[in-house]
Amino acid sequence: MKAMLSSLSITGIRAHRLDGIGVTVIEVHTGAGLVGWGDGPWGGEVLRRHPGLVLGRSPFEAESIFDELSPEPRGGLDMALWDLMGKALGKPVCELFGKPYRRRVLAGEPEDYAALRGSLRVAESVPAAWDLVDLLRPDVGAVGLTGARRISYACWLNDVRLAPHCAGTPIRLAATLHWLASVPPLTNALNPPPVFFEYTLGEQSPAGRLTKEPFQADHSDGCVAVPEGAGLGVEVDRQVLASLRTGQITLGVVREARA
Amino acid sequence: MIRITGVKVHTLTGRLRQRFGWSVNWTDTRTATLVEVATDAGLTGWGEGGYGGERLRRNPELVIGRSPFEVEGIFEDLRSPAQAQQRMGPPTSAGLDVALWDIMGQALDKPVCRILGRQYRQRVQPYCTALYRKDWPDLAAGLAAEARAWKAKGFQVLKMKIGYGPGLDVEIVRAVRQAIGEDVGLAVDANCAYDDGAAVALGRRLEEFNLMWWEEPIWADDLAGYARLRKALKIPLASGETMSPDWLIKNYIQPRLVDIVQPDLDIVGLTGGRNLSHFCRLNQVRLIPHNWGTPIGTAATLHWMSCLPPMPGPAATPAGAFELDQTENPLRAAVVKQTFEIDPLDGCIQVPTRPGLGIDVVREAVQEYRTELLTIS
Repeated sequence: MKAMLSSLSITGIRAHRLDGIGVTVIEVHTGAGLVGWGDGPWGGEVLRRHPGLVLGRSPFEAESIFDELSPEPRGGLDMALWDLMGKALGKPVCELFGKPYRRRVLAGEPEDYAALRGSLRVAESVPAAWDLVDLLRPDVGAVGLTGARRISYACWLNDVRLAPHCAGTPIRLAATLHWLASVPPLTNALNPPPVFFEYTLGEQSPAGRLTKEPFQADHSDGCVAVPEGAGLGVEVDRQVLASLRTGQITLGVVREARA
Repeated sequence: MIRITGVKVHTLTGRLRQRFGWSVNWTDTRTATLVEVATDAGLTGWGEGGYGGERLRRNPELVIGRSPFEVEGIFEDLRSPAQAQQRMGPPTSAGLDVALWDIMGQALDKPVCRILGRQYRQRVQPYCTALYRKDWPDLAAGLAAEARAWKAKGFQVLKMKIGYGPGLDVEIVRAVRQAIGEDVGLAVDANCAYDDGAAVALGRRLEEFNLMWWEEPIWADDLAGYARLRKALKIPLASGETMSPDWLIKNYIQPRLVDIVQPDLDIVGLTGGRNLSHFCRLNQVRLIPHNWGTPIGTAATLHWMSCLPPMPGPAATPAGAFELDQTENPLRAAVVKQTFEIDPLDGCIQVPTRPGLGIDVVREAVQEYRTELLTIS
């Protein structure tokens, strides 16, 4: 076990551009054969010039990699590193990320947000002063899971509600679910202000076919279950990925998988 | 997968050859609480400080049987839960937390700083904590002679105790400043000896000595008092060694109430310490850790300081400064094989490079000084 963890090393990164649906899917390979997936920016501008910032390193250096790539957008790459850490340990990301307070998360509809905007002060990014905000809605694709954890703690300390935006594929949705599993309840009430995210992945969305998990909200309670499998707990359908792909960039060694 | 099988809490006590004192007490012993965590993979981790207390004794399953990689969840689980009118309590398991980081590093074959965050530096410049009062006939003369010796060893910054009354405080600070000259940094620590009115009056008299900071002039939780001192004095204010990360962020860092926060890893842990680093950077508050234990705490503090983001501005204190206690402590040389001494050339210490914390605990010494042992399994 120890040998496997200590020898885990990133060999290659592939960024799949899916221009038709406006997303980038990130695939990170390790020498051990584990593959991590993310959805969002990957620091490509910097990494193409300095691949050693990621290649050859352990996914367990995610926190360091995240800050070394700053201020480059890198949320998708960070997500893939968390997926790898979970897979290497055989644990769902939510158990490594924080304390899982819940295993089901409420999926809010865009109309719910519109209603909240009328009554609450809503911000998309971390505010200059916390008392200017009632509700914060960052997207894990922009802030990464590493950034999301910092934001969670700041929100809890300052009594600001978190209700992330989540536009993208089910990979990003899974990352959002693992994140929100660990957000502490805002109050101790039997019915505290709900922890929820903006659910935009309709049944007809082409991005929704990208993974084998449907991630549909349960009609009875409006919730989506946090994936239970190791890592982010999603399995990417490579045929769908290939059919939606409009371009790709590869850094380092990516072992070709059967499509 | 790697699992935690047991936790041992060793309470150590060592007797001093010569007693020393500060503004509120004297001591002739030194104590430490070491937390040892065992796993089924044969790896053992060590930390110093809290272990989870009664909550862990009653609920060992919050730690036993879990993976050390669940470090964030374990840290959170050992807070007391929200109840009635009070939100979730402060972390209680800082020493256990450091031991888990030690195990994670060993399992990954990497020094803790590599997995804790971005490493901004591999050498850290500590300041020297010494200059307590001893049974000297002339306190000012005794402190001046001691201060010269620390300067000769290569320390770039010294901290001395005050809080003995305004007249004596001014006399001893003047004596030490004259002894070391202007090229060595000097800080003072009153251990909350004054009220805010007395502190303002004394602070004005201390301004001429070019002090790097005044630590705990008043009670740590006298928030209005710190606000008054900050307005009235030119000396930077420092405090926070006994406070939780939540408390420090809400009361000191976000409101920028003090110039320097001084958290101790035995209360905040590396998990809480990493959060504090980010909040200090975002709010432009300097972080200079308190560190008053064995080399286990010093090693952990070095890894933490390796990852502290630098503050902008040429006038900022060296970002990695932390406390290196040089007072008599028989535990210091005994319980860990490695010693952490400054390099006289630059006054710095190298961050350990071996996996985990990078130290070897000497079990025979732990047994020799142990006055209490608690086992949770």
